[in-house]
Amino acid sequence: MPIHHQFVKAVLSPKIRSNTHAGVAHRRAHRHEEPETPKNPANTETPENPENPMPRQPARHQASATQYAVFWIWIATILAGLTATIAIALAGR
Amino acid sequence: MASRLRDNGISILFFVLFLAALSGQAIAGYLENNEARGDHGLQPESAWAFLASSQFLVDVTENWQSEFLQFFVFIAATIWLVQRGSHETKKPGEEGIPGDKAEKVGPYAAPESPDGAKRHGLARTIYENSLLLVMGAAFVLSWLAQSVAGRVAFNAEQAEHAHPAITWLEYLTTPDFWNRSLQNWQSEFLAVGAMIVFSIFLRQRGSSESKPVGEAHDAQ
Repeated sequence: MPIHHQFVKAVLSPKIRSNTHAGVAHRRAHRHEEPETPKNPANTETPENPENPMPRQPARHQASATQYAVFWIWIATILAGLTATIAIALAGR
Repeated sequence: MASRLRDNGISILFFVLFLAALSGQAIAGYLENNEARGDHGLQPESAWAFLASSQFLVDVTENWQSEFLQFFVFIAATIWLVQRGSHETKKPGEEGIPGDKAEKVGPYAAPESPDGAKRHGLARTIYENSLLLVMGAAFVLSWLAQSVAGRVAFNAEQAEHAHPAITWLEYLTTPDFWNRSLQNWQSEFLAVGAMIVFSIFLRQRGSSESKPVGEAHDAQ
Protein backbone atom coordinates (compact mmCIF):
# COMPACT_ATOMS: atom_id res chain seq x y z
CA MET A 1 0.00 0.00 0.00
CA PRO A 2 1.43 3.44 -0.87
CA ILE A 3 2.89 5.28 2.07
CA HIS A 4 0.52 8.21 1.68
CA HIS A 5 -2.38 5.81 2.19
CA GLN A 6 -0.74 4.63 5.37
CA PHE A 7 -0.37 8.21 6.48
CA VAL A 8 -4.06 8.79 5.88
CA LYS A 9 -4.89 5.72 7.91
CA ALA A 10 -2.77 6.88 10.80
CA VAL A 11 -4.23 10.38 10.85
CA LEU A 12 -7.78 9.17 10.56
CA SER A 13 -7.44 6.32 13.00
CA PRO A 14 -9.38 6.87 16.21
CA LYS A 15 -6.43 5.26 18.01
CA ILE A 16 -3.96 7.93 16.92
CA ARG A 17 -5.76 11.25 17.04
CA SER A 18 -2.54 13.10 17.59
CA ASN A 19 -3.70 16.26 15.85
CA THR A 20 -6.34 16.88 18.48
CA HIS A 21 -5.83 18.10 21.97
CA ALA A 22 -6.90 14.75 23.34
CA GLY A 23 -4.77 12.85 20.91
CA VAL A 24 -1.58 13.08 22.88
CA ALA A 25 -3.24 11.92 26.05
CA HIS A 26 -5.15 9.28 24.17
CA ARG A 27 -2.03 7.87 22.59
CA ARG A 28 -0.20 8.04 25.89
CA ALA A 29 -2.99 6.14 27.57
CA HIS A 30 -2.74 3.34 25.06
CA ARG A 31 0.98 3.21 25.35
CA HIS A 32 1.78 3.63 29.00
CA GLU A 33 -1.12 2.79 31.22
CA GLU A 34 -1.66 -0.64 32.62
CA PRO A 35 -4.85 -2.30 31.47
CA GLU A 36 -7.72 -1.58 33.79
CA THR A 37 -9.84 -4.23 35.36
CA PRO A 38 -13.41 -3.46 34.36
CA LYS A 39 -15.25 -2.05 37.38
CA ASN A 40 -18.60 -2.74 35.83
CA PRO A 41 -19.33 -6.47 35.85
CA ALA A 42 -21.41 -5.96 32.74
CA ASN A 43 -18.34 -4.70 30.90
CA THR A 44 -16.76 -7.88 29.65
CA GLU A 45 -14.50 -6.28 27.07
CA THR A 46 -10.99 -7.67 27.37
CA PRO A 47 -8.45 -4.91 27.96
CA GLU A 48 -5.65 -4.49 25.48
CA ASN A 49 -2.34 -5.89 26.67
CA PRO A 50 0.56 -4.24 24.84
CA GLU A 51 2.89 -7.13 25.69
CA ASN A 52 0.58 -9.72 24.22
CA PRO A 53 -1.74 -8.09 21.74
CA MET A 54 -5.05 -9.77 21.24
CA PRO A 55 -5.88 -10.86 17.70
CA ARG A 56 -7.61 -7.99 16.00
CA GLN A 57 -10.05 -7.76 13.21
CA PRO A 58 -8.26 -6.24 10.25
CA ALA A 59 -11.41 -4.39 9.21
CA ARG A 60 -11.11 -2.11 12.25
CA HIS A 61 -7.81 -0.80 10.95
CA GLN A 62 -8.80 -0.18 7.36
CA ALA A 63 -9.59 3.39 6.51
CA SER A 64 -12.73 3.52 4.46
CA ALA A 65 -13.12 5.29 1.14
CA THR A 66 -15.15 7.90 2.98
CA GLN A 67 -12.30 8.51 5.39
CA TYR A 68 -9.88 8.94 2.50
CA ALA A 69 -12.32 11.35 0.89
CA VAL A 70 -12.67 13.38 4.08
CA PHE A 71 -8.89 13.57 4.45
CA TRP A 72 -8.27 14.66 0.87
CA ILE A 73 -11.05 17.25 0.97
CA TRP A 74 -9.30 18.87 3.94
CA ILE A 75 -5.89 18.73 2.28
CA ALA A 76 -7.27 20.00 -1.05
CA THR A 77 -9.10 22.86 0.65
CA ILE A 78 -5.95 24.07 2.37
CA LEU A 79 -3.77 23.71 -0.70
CA ALA A 80 -6.36 25.33 -2.98
CA GLY A 81 -6.75 28.29 -0.64
CA LEU A 82 -3.01 28.83 -0.33
CA THR A 83 -2.35 28.34 -4.05
CA ALA A 84 -5.10 30.79 -5.01
CA THR A 85 -3.84 33.35 -2.51
CA ILE A 86 -0.28 33.19 -3.76
CA ALA A 87 -1.37 33.25 -7.43
CA ILE A 88 -3.63 36.26 -6.92
CA ALA A 89 -0.99 38.12 -4.94
CA LEU A 90 1.68 37.39 -7.56
CA ALA A 91 -0.70 38.74 -10.20
CA GLY A 92 -0.73 41.95 -8.17
CA ARG A 93 -4.46 42.06 -7.50
CA MET B 1 -24.81 6.50 4.55
CA ALA B 2 -25.85 7.12 8.16
CA SER B 3 -22.85 5.20 9.45
CA ARG B 4 -20.54 7.19 7.18
CA LEU B 5 -21.86 10.43 8.61
CA ARG B 6 -21.55 9.11 12.16
CA ASP B 7 -18.00 7.82 11.64
CA ASN B 8 -16.86 11.17 10.25
CA GLY B 9 -19.22 13.42 12.15
CA ILE B 10 -16.76 15.79 13.77
CA SER B 11 -14.67 16.22 10.61
CA ILE B 12 -17.79 17.09 8.65
CA LEU B 13 -19.07 19.42 11.37
CA PHE B 14 -15.85 21.42 11.42
CA PHE B 15 -15.69 21.57 7.63
CA VAL B 16 -19.23 22.93 7.47
CA LEU B 17 -18.48 25.41 10.26
CA PHE B 18 -15.36 26.48 8.38
CA LEU B 19 -17.30 27.11 5.17
CA ALA B 20 -20.04 28.97 7.03
CA ALA B 21 -17.59 31.18 8.90
CA LEU B 22 -15.56 31.83 5.75
CA SER B 23 -18.74 32.83 3.93
CA GLY B 24 -19.68 35.15 6.76
CA GLN B 25 -16.21 36.68 6.73
CA ALA B 26 -16.46 37.18 2.95
CA ILE B 27 -19.83 38.95 3.20
CA ALA B 28 -18.82 41.14 6.13
CA GLY B 29 -15.48 41.94 4.51
CA TYR B 30 -17.13 42.82 1.22
CA LEU B 31 -19.54 45.22 2.91
CA GLU B 32 -16.80 46.80 5.00
CA ASN B 33 -14.55 47.16 1.96
CA ASN B 34 -17.22 48.99 -0.03
CA GLU B 35 -17.92 51.28 2.93
CA ALA B 36 -14.24 52.17 3.05
CA ARG B 37 -14.14 52.70 -0.72
CA GLY B 38 -17.10 55.06 -0.43
CA ASP B 39 -15.30 57.02 2.28
CA HIS B 40 -12.38 57.44 -0.13
CA GLY B 41 -14.66 58.50 -3.00
CA LEU B 42 -14.13 55.25 -4.92
CA GLN B 43 -16.72 53.17 -6.78
CA PRO B 44 -18.01 50.03 -5.01
CA GLU B 45 -16.22 46.80 -5.91
CA SER B 46 -18.01 43.64 -7.06
CA ALA B 47 -18.21 40.74 -4.63
CA TRP B 48 -16.11 38.57 -6.94
CA ALA B 49 -13.44 41.26 -7.26
CA PHE B 50 -13.27 41.48 -3.48
CA LEU B 51 -13.06 37.70 -3.00
CA ALA B 52 -10.23 37.52 -5.56
CA SER B 53 -8.35 40.37 -3.94
CA SER B 54 -5.28 40.16 -1.74
CA GLN B 55 -7.10 42.30 0.79
CA PHE B 56 -9.55 39.47 1.53
CA LEU B 57 -7.00 36.70 1.23
CA VAL B 58 -4.48 38.21 3.60
CA ASP B 59 -7.18 38.31 6.26
CA VAL B 60 -7.90 34.63 5.65
CA THR B 61 -4.32 33.40 5.57
CA GLU B 62 -3.13 35.37 8.58
CA ASN B 63 -5.57 33.34 10.63
CA TRP B 64 -4.70 30.07 8.94
CA GLN B 65 -0.99 30.37 9.64
CA SER B 66 -1.53 30.99 13.32
CA GLU B 67 -3.76 27.93 13.66
CA PHE B 68 -1.21 25.64 12.03
CA LEU B 69 1.56 27.23 14.08
CA GLN B 70 -0.45 26.53 17.22
CA PHE B 71 -0.70 22.82 16.46
CA PHE B 72 2.90 22.63 15.26
CA VAL B 73 4.18 24.11 18.54
CA PHE B 74 1.75 22.07 20.62
CA ILE B 75 2.67 18.76 18.99
CA ALA B 76 6.40 19.49 19.22
CA ALA B 77 6.28 20.81 22.78
CA THR B 78 4.37 17.80 24.09
CA ILE B 79 7.27 15.57 23.08
CA TRP B 80 9.55 17.20 25.61
CA LEU B 81 7.39 19.10 28.09
CA VAL B 82 4.60 18.02 30.42
CA GLN B 83 2.05 19.64 32.71
CA ARG B 84 1.27 17.62 35.81
CA GLY B 85 -2.45 16.93 36.04
CA SER B 86 -3.23 18.01 32.49
CA HIS B 87 -5.12 15.70 30.18
CA GLU B 88 -3.25 17.30 27.28
CA THR B 89 0.30 16.10 28.00
CA LYS B 90 2.19 13.00 28.97
CA LYS B 91 2.92 12.27 32.62
CA PRO B 92 5.95 13.81 34.33
CA GLY B 93 8.85 11.44 33.77
CA GLU B 94 7.66 10.46 30.30
CA GLU B 95 9.27 13.39 28.52
CA GLY B 96 11.19 12.67 25.38
CA ILE B 97 10.91 10.23 22.52
CA PRO B 98 9.84 6.68 23.45
CA GLY B 99 11.68 3.63 22.18
CA ASP B 100 10.74 1.54 19.18
CA LYS B 101 8.76 -0.92 21.29
CA ALA B 102 6.46 1.72 22.73
CA GLU B 103 6.00 3.30 19.32
CA LYS B 104 5.43 -0.07 17.62
CA VAL B 105 7.95 0.56 14.88
CA GLY B 106 10.56 -1.57 13.12
CA PRO B 107 10.71 -5.08 14.62
CA TYR B 108 7.91 -4.17 17.05
CA ALA B 109 5.44 -3.16 14.36
CA ALA B 110 2.20 -5.09 14.51
CA PRO B 111 0.73 -6.74 11.42
CA GLU B 112 -1.87 -3.99 11.19
CA SER B 113 0.70 -1.20 11.67
CA PRO B 114 1.10 1.26 8.80
CA ASP B 115 3.76 0.41 6.24
CA GLY B 116 5.65 3.52 7.31
CA ALA B 117 6.08 2.07 10.80
CA LYS B 118 7.54 -1.14 9.38
CA ARG B 119 10.14 0.58 7.23
CA HIS B 120 13.64 1.64 8.16
CA GLY B 121 15.82 4.65 7.56
CA LEU B 122 14.61 7.88 6.01
CA ALA B 123 11.17 6.58 5.02
CA ARG B 124 10.35 5.71 8.61
CA THR B 125 11.87 8.91 9.96
CA ILE B 126 9.60 10.90 7.66
CA TYR B 127 6.55 8.85 8.53
CA GLU B 128 7.06 8.96 12.29
CA ASN B 129 7.28 12.76 12.08
CA SER B 130 4.69 13.21 9.34
CA LEU B 131 2.09 14.94 11.48
CA LEU B 132 4.57 17.58 12.62
CA LEU B 133 5.98 17.93 9.10
CA VAL B 134 2.56 18.50 7.54
CA MET B 135 1.50 20.97 10.22
CA GLY B 136 4.80 22.80 9.87
CA ALA B 137 4.52 22.91 6.09
CA ALA B 138 0.96 24.21 6.31
CA PHE B 139 2.15 26.93 8.70
CA VAL B 140 5.05 28.00 6.49
CA LEU B 141 2.92 28.03 3.33
CA SER B 142 0.12 29.95 5.05
CA TRP B 143 2.58 32.47 6.45
CA LEU B 144 4.15 32.82 3.00
CA ALA B 145 0.71 33.35 1.46
CA GLN B 146 -0.07 35.93 4.13
CA SER B 147 3.13 37.80 3.34
CA VAL B 148 2.67 37.95 -0.43
CA ALA B 149 -1.02 38.89 -0.19
CA GLY B 150 -0.32 41.30 2.64
CA ARG B 151 2.28 43.10 0.57
CA VAL B 152 -0.17 43.63 -2.31
CA ALA B 153 -2.88 44.88 0.06
CA PHE B 154 -0.34 47.08 1.83
CA ASN B 155 0.88 48.58 -1.46
CA ALA B 156 -2.71 49.28 -2.55
CA GLU B 157 -3.16 51.33 0.59
CA GLN B 158 0.19 53.01 0.03
CA ALA B 159 -0.95 54.01 -3.47
CA GLU B 160 -4.15 55.55 -2.11
CA HIS B 161 -2.00 57.83 0.03
CA ALA B 162 0.51 58.52 -2.75
CA HIS B 163 3.24 56.55 -0.99
CA PRO B 164 5.72 54.38 -2.92
CA ALA B 165 5.26 50.63 -3.22
CA ILE B 166 7.57 48.34 -1.27
CA THR B 167 9.14 44.99 -2.11
CA TRP B 168 8.21 41.68 -0.47
CA LEU B 169 11.38 41.68 1.61
CA GLU B 170 10.66 45.23 2.77
CA TYR B 171 7.13 44.20 3.67
CA LEU B 172 8.49 41.46 5.95
CA THR B 173 10.02 44.19 8.13
CA THR B 174 6.88 46.34 8.37
CA PRO B 175 4.76 46.70 11.51
CA ASP B 176 1.75 45.73 9.36
CA PHE B 177 3.15 42.24 8.70
CA TRP B 178 4.18 41.62 12.30
CA ASN B 179 1.03 43.12 13.74
CA ARG B 180 -1.06 40.76 11.63
CA SER B 181 1.10 37.79 12.65
CA LEU B 182 1.54 38.45 16.34
CA GLN B 183 -2.05 39.41 17.05
CA ASN B 184 -3.04 35.93 15.91
CA TRP B 185 -0.19 34.11 17.59
CA GLN B 186 -0.89 35.57 20.99
CA SER B 187 -4.50 34.40 20.91
CA GLU B 188 -3.54 30.89 19.85
CA PHE B 189 -0.91 30.51 22.53
CA LEU B 190 -3.32 31.87 25.14
CA ALA B 191 -6.01 29.40 24.10
CA VAL B 192 -3.71 26.36 24.09
CA GLY B 193 -2.17 27.32 27.42
CA ALA B 194 -5.61 27.86 28.92
CA MET B 195 -6.77 24.47 27.63
CA ILE B 196 -3.76 22.74 29.17
CA VAL B 197 -4.17 24.45 32.55
CA PHE B 198 -7.97 24.37 32.68
CA SER B 199 -7.98 20.64 31.98
CA ILE B 200 -6.21 20.06 35.31
CA PHE B 201 -9.14 21.27 37.40
CA LEU B 202 -12.18 21.50 35.12
CA ARG B 203 -14.21 18.71 33.54
CA GLN B 204 -16.70 18.18 30.76
CA ARG B 205 -18.61 14.99 31.19
CA GLY B 206 -18.63 12.97 27.97
CA SER B 207 -15.93 14.92 26.15
CA SER B 208 -12.71 13.32 24.95
CA GLU B 209 -11.07 16.66 25.72
CA SER B 210 -11.61 16.15 29.45
CA LYS B 211 -10.55 13.73 32.12
CA PRO B 212 -13.40 11.71 33.62
CA VAL B 213 -15.33 13.91 36.04
CA GLY B 214 -14.23 11.92 39.08
CA GLU B 215 -10.56 11.76 38.11
CA ALA B 216 -8.14 13.35 40.58
CA HIS B 217 -6.71 16.74 39.68
CA ASP B 218 -3.14 15.46 39.58
CA ALA B 219 -4.04 12.38 37.51
CA GLN B 220 -3.52 12.28 33.79
